[in-house]
Amino acid sequence: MKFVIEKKELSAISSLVYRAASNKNTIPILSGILIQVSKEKGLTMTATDMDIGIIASTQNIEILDEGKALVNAHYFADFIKLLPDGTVIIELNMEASKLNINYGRSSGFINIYRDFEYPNLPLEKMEKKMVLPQAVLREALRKTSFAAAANHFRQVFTGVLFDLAEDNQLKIVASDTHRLAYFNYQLDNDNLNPLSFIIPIRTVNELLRVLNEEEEVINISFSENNVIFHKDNFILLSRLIEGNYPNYKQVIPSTSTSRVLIKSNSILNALERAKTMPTDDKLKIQHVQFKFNENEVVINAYSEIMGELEEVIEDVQIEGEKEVKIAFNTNYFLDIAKIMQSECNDMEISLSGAIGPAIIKNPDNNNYLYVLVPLRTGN
Amino acid sequence: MNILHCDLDAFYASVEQRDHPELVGKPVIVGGLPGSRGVVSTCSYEAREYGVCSAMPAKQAYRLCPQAVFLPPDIPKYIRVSQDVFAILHRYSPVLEALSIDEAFLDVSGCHRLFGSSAQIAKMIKNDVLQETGLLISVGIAANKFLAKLATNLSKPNGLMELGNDEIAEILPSLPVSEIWGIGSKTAHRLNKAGIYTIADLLEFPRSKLETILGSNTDFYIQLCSGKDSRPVLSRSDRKSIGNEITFPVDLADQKEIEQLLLELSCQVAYRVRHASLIAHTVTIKMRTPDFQTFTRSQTLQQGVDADLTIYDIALNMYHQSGLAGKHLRLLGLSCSKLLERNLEQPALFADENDILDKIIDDMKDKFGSAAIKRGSLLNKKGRNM
Repeated sequence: MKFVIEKKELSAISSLVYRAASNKNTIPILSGILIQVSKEKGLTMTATDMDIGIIASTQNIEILDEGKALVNAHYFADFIKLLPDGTVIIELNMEASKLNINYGRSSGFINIYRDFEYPNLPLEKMEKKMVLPQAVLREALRKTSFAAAANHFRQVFTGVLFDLAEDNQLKIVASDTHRLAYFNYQLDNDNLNPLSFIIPIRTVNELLRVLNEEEEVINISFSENNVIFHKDNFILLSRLIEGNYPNYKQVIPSTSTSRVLIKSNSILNALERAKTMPTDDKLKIQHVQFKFNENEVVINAYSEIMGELEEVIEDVQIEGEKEVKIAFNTNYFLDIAKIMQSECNDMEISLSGAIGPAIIKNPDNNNYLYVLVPLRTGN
Repeated sequence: MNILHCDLDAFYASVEQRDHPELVGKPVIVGGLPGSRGVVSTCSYEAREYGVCSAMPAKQAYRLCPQAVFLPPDIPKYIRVSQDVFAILHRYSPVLEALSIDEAFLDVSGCHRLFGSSAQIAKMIKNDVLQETGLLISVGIAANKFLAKLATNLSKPNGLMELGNDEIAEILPSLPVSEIWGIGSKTAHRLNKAGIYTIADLLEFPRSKLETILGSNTDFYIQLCSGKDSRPVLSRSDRKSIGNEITFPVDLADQKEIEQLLLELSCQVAYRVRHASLIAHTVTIKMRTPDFQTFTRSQTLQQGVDADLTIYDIALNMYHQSGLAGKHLRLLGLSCSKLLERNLEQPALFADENDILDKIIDDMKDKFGSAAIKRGSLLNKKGRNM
């Protein structure tokens, strides 16, 4: 195997792919990145730890010799990333078991795995389920995935739910049980079958690295209980989280007693300051209290150790019950406020008393919303 | 003299004698059964006359007192009785510090106008406990926790003793060092080897030499020996952990059987966590191999847990990943820690169906006793002992 490639091109692919390789040393070849070169397909790189697999390819190379090699993914990607811009020549020396990397008058080599049997990713029986613009998928994941749990004894909460109904509505949902993020998109594919699956957060993070604003679409397919996200020159295969996602529609309140319109920017800034308050010993969750009254809200954060912060936000429109005292997890609200601030001047908060879950949404856009459970702070 | 130490006499055994009148007057041993490797949890005073004591291996207890009635403990029942007793104590003062299931401190400062002197309060407590639960409780009264506990120990069973300054000066110096709070048999033995047998001996011993035996707590013990103890009665003593463990009658390797025991432990511990209105953020399992090596595995969760099956799933997962699955074990334990008050936990959007089932099971246990309901998978267990 021998080929010539621009460093930028090489680095773009290897930095996407190497992250699927295993960090553990239990099965050595899974720490590898498979580099394949053929006249037909160009350069293809593959890595998998069997939970997730990524394949990326490019035709932008000059092939001198076809062939393949497996090298340690992390060593390879780290090294390539730091190469100077320019042409790189990669050449396999089978006898010496090394992969030579030549750049300008300099060179290095990485030891290869010999006589390996690299696992085949199950791509043969791929069945396409839906297609959507990659910008939409990117937006949906950005607006929802933060709400999933970092760890939870119910595995389903550590993933993002894709729920496709008969009416071609795709709902993307994430929740750690205290908050829920919901995104809805009307697919224009024909004859879609209802389908529901949960992808791990790690898969979401890898997807977000590759999705961009370009007009290209992303295909979602299935193969042997794996979900496959693919577009030109890129395939991401992931195992699914097993289990049934609980009925999320049930926990989105359909009624409210107060509807509040408030400047997204003002809330965001107040919450950023409130976040500096350390947690108190009793209630080990950072929290802020909101006192809504007539046309203003007083935001209070208190910490026995540090002190107190009280902010008044004016020009708040309140419909329905005007006097409400409610407390929220500071970080949870902040996550939502950050998104709202980048999307809309005012955010809409629908409340159902001090203990009912609140809905936070963009008043001009019904395709996404957040449900946030208030805290019982005892005052 | 505002500190009361209240201690139920031979608690588990007394509850069993109360519920089984035919056992009254007989030696009753609650804990491991004779053929097992379990230990005595509590024994009745009748059994103590034969030299049986708590924490003694059941086998040894059987040798000393073969005619004793051996019973396995019914912890949920004891918890219920204990709660009844603590509710009585609470009538007399809000400042109550539970030491264990059958022992508590009560600070009655400021309660005298309502209820009379400390001795009168103690009498009322003893009377209420006997009338309402049928159990005997010993009460010690003194100026601090150490002396109050000492008074109880000196007056048991069915005791009531007030240790005033005169009594202290008379009694304290000649007491053996093992009566000092926190001095166990091992430390007592080391003190004895140094020639320190009584509290007076300890006070006369050079402090620097004492420190080599008692370590950083030397000053605390010297204070106690002088009858001083400044520790307050803490009404909400934060519980560090709730747990339970089983020593098997014979070493076990059968995974199915161990899994079943793990489920049983999970149910017991989860029930106690729920009863205390707590929620656990850490679950730990403990495994001891036949060569007495002890291994623990624990998992800390962002999310608090209190459901039987949730705790079981976490425990089971740790057991399977411990590298000890399928190996012989002689002891299995499970505990929950990082306990937070349940009502301060962030409420959840999705109800856990396990919670609903647990609630029903708990209600039935509270109403009809812990034997009233059991998970099907816990039936048909092989003989064993807690």
